[in-house]
Order: sequence, then C-alpha cells, then structure tokens
Amino acid sequence: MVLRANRLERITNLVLALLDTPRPLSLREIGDVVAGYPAEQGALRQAFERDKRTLRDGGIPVAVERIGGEDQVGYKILAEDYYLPDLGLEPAEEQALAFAVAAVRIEGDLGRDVLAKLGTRGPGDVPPIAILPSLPALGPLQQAVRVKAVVEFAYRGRRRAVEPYGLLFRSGAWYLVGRDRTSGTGGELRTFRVDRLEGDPVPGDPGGFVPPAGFDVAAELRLAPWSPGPRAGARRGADGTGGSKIDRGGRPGEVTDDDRDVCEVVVEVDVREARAALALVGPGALEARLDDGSVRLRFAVGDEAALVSWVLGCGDAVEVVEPARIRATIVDALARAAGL
Amino acid sequence: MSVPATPGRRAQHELAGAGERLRRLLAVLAYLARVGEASIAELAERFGLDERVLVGELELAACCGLPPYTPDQLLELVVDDERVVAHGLDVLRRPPRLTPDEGFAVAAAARALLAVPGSDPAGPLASALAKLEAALGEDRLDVELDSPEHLGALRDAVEERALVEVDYLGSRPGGETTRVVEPHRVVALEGRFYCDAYCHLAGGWRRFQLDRVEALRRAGGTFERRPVPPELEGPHAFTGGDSATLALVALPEGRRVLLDRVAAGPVERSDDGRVVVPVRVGDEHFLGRLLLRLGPDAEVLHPPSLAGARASVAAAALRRYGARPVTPDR
Repeated sequence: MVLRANRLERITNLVLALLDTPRPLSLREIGDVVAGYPAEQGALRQAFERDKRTLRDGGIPVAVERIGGEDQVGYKILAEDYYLPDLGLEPAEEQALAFAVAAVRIEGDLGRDVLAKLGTRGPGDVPPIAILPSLPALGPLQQAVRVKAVVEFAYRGRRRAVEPYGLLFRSGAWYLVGRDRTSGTGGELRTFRVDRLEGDPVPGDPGGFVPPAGFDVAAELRLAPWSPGPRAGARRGADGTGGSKIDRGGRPGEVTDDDRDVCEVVVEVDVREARAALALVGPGALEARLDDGSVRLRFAVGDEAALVSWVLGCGDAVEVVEPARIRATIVDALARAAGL
Repeated sequence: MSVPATPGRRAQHELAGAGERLRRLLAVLAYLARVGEASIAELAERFGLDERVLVGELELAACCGLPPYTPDQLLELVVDDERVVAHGLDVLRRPPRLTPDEGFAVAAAARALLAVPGSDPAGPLASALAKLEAALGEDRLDVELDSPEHLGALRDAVEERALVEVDYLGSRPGGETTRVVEPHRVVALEGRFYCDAYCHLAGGWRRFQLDRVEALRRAGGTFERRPVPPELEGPHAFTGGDSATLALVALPEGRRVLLDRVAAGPVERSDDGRVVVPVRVGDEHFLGRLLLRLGPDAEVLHPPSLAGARASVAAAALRRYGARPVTPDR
C-alpha cells in the first residue's frame, strides 16, 4: 500500500489536533473537525483506525479515555507520550553521541534519525570503527528492557513469556538474558539468541516485573550451545522441592535437553581458536595456558551433540582430551569424514 | 498512560513506510520549529533525504494545521528553491520521542564505542549515555568487542598511513607468514577486529584478523590511499586466505539456518530437494572446517577442486588425535 499524499496530510492534521486538544476528542468530533476524513460513519471509523495504527507504528501512541455520553471514548496524544524529554546534553556530549553514531555502523542507520531529533549535526564522513548486525526484534526487546515489560515470543518451537533483564552483543551475536516464566515451576534464567527468535516479540504492560538488583547480564549469559540448563546439575526445583521436569515445549514428562546428563569435558585449543573458545565457555573454564599460546579448558556440557559439532568445525585447532567417550565420538566422525 | 506498541518490522513494511514517513516529517518540522529557517540542502543532508522528496513533503505539510484551519492556525512554511522559512509550529517545537528502534540504535552505538579499547569510560560519551538512560530508562545493554594486543599500534599506523610488517598466523597450521602491508582501516566485525590492508606479499587486498597478528613493526615509509574494493565492504565480507572462491554447498533444508549468515548469494534448490548455498571461501581449510561442522549430509557441488576439503581437514585433525593415547575416564 502506498501512502497517498492526502493521507499523510490527514495524519499530520490528526497528530496536531490530538496533541493540541485540552480534552479527549470523540471519533465524531475528529471526523467533524480534522481535515481530510470521510463523513460517512463506517468509512470514518475505518480511516481513523488505520491512521491510529500508522501512528503507533511511527512510535506515537494514541491514548483512549472514557468520556461518557453517547460517544463513550475519546482520543488524545499525551504530551509525555509524544515529546522527547529534555536530555540536557552538553555540546561535548552531543558531539560524542554524534561521533558514536557515525563510527559504529548499525544496520538500518537509525542512529542518524536520533541525531536529527536531537538537532545535532553529524560529524560527516567518519571511517567505521565497528559494524554491528541489527535485527528487527532488538528495538522492541530493548524497549521492553527499559520499561520492564514482559515479552512473549516463540523460541525453539515453544511460546515463552520472558522478563527481559538485558541485551548483550558477544562473539558476533546478540543475546537476550531473562527469566522465562514458562520454564520450570518458578521460571528459569535463560539466554536467548536474538536471531533465533521465531516471529516478532510481543511486549506486555510496562512495569510488569522487577529485575533482580545488581543483575549482571555479562556474567549470567550462557553462550555455548552445549551449556547445561541452570537446574540440570542440581536437579532441584526452583522452590527447593526438586524433582520436577522442565517443560521445553514438549509433552508433559517428555525428556528434554535440560534433563540430559551433564558431563565435564576437557579440551585443548591451539592459538588460532583460543580466544574464541574462551569467549564461548567463559574465563572460569581456563585450566592452563601453554607456552605455544594454546589453552586447556574444562567445562560442563549438557548437550553433547552441540559440543561435537563445534569441535568438528574447529578442524585440527581443538582436541577433546576427556572424557574418552566423546573423544572416541570425534575420532569416529573424523575417520568417516576422512574416508578411512 | 498508554503503552507504545512495538510492531515488528514486517508490519511496518506492509504499511510501506507510512509510520516511517510520518515520523521523519514530524522530526523535520520539529527541527524547523526550533531553528525557524534552514536551507533545503542542509535539511536534506541532516535528515538523509533527497532534496526533491524533502520539498515535496514540506509543501504537503504547509497545508496542515489545527482546526478550524483558518490561516492563523496553519503551519506556515514558505518554501523557495533554496530555503524554507517556518512560523507557527509551536505545538511541534519540542522533538518527538525516540522510537524503540532509535533508542536501541543510539544506545548500541554508544556502548560499542565505549567497548573499543582505549575509549574514555568517564568521558562525554559515557555521561551522554547516562542522560539518555535517565530519560528513557536503564538500557541494560552491552557490547563486547575483543581487545587484540596490536589494536592501538595498528590504528595509529592507519592514521599515519605508515607501512607495517606483521607476523601473521594463518588459519592453517604452520601457516605463519611475515608480510609488509598498507593498513587502510581497522574495524570490528561481529565483535572481532580486522584490518583491511593492501598486502605486498600477496600483491592484493587481504583482511587480517587482529588476534592472529603475532608481532607488528613499522616497516619504514608511508603509503598512498587506495580505494577499498567492494568485496571488503559489509559485515559479512570474506575473511580468508589466498584467493576467494565461490563454492556451492548442498545441505538438507532443515540445516540451512547454519549457512544463513555466510551465504554469498541467492539460495537455490537441487533436484534431490536439498538447498544449495553459495559460500565464499578463502581456502580449502576454511571450507573443510565448515563442512565438518555441517555434518555428513552437507556436500560441495562446485568447484570439483574443493571436493576433498572435508577429508583433508579431517585427516589433519586425526593426526592430532593420533599423537596422544586415549586416556581412560576418571
């Protein structure tokens, strides 16, 4: 659908009228006074609802209030919903933001629109220092983090309701860390890879939860795809009674990947992949750093298939030392791939 | 207070940018309300708009206003060839709120820049971010970039156009080389720092991974800037060794997601129902590792010279295992 010129004009008129009015306007009043609306009631309502959706998509919510009488509800754009609060930025701070937006390229280039809103001029042509991938879900998720709204989305084939605690870009990907209310009995801390969300996240009302004080997203992120779930080792329920299985979208009682046995693995990683491997498993896994730049890592694995896939993909840069069972699985797969 | 809904980009797309266009127009009007007068060229640059499109939108807005649309209630925009003069936009004088996408973009850019080693954690960028958080809510967003040893020295060399000699670990074992390069830029892609350089040893452009630079020395002398070739543009640019080859990899539909981020062109379907993904590969080693990770169902269809990539990397890895007897489980 192409936005016709007269519709943009009508919506602009609607914004001005709803911002300026001291009291909520009924649909009838809107039709009467705002230029560009059809007179017929059905067409008027249809046109208004469409415009309201466009406003919402542009980040401008229309407040609905009860006004009594025949029309029952009225509409208004609240100043606090529309205007950017005064940030009180010093000139040096404006320049620093402008430089950041220019030097860090984020797909979509929306930072530039922010500068425009702040009335700040960009610093011109700056060579990029970092290029970050963007994803449609990041804006809505970030907003949900800011206003503490529970978000719903599908992940690994199951609908989740998650209290979003924070977003982190690590090892080339965006992650959301939060409490998944639909996991376990009291909800579980989970890490979600944002590019694996299935469909758009749907936020609930602001103030839907209270994040734990002093929550450290970077420390709580579980990056490695083979990481055991938080309960897998302890086998205890969040309420301390223990024993219940975690539902991962399967049928009740189905054994899910959180319930697999957890084993401890030792790997040696040579200098080519040492840094990347440490980023995956975290610094706590470092057992030894050898003279040739290689590292010896010890960590828990809940999903063996994921670990095997990673080790194979590292070619001769990573070697599983323990346990012998996984070592044998790797040697077996390599022998088959080598045609032996 | 009502809640700003945050539709996905798909919904916005179906509206053909209607919300987007409105948002932009309102931002332009808010700016004009504050400054009163501006040149068309400056506005177009500031808002990233084509001048003709901008004038079209402004002419449209000049017919807007408040009921009852008497002349004193209309936005007064006088547009001539070069300038626009604005009056009576009081209701728009303050800028509109940031959308969720904008709020994310500015916070992510600022956090990323603060993550670059050497940035000032207490400087104006950090205080600007704190003010944004005070207005928008705590962002609880962080960006982690790696901090390779030679980042600072290499960035200085880029700035000064200084030739450098690097000891570079390749992706292959025993692939260490020493080369003189012209470092043109240093940029973090997907969290890792790379240097795009014209390499005298290879006689061409190469992208070097900074955490594989073992040592770096000034080689003496400076270089002239060359245009960076298009294949080094973009976050997913090829990062491999000696020559970039386009390989066609076939794999089952269900595993396609594993290649989404490295696909170098449109994905097609083979006669047996698998998907065929073009992947730019630097060398046989890179492709071999990728195939091992993808599993036995994945296969190289083209070029025939790379058909043995998986087997040769697997054989190299097997040699490593052969060097150590299997230890019994404790």
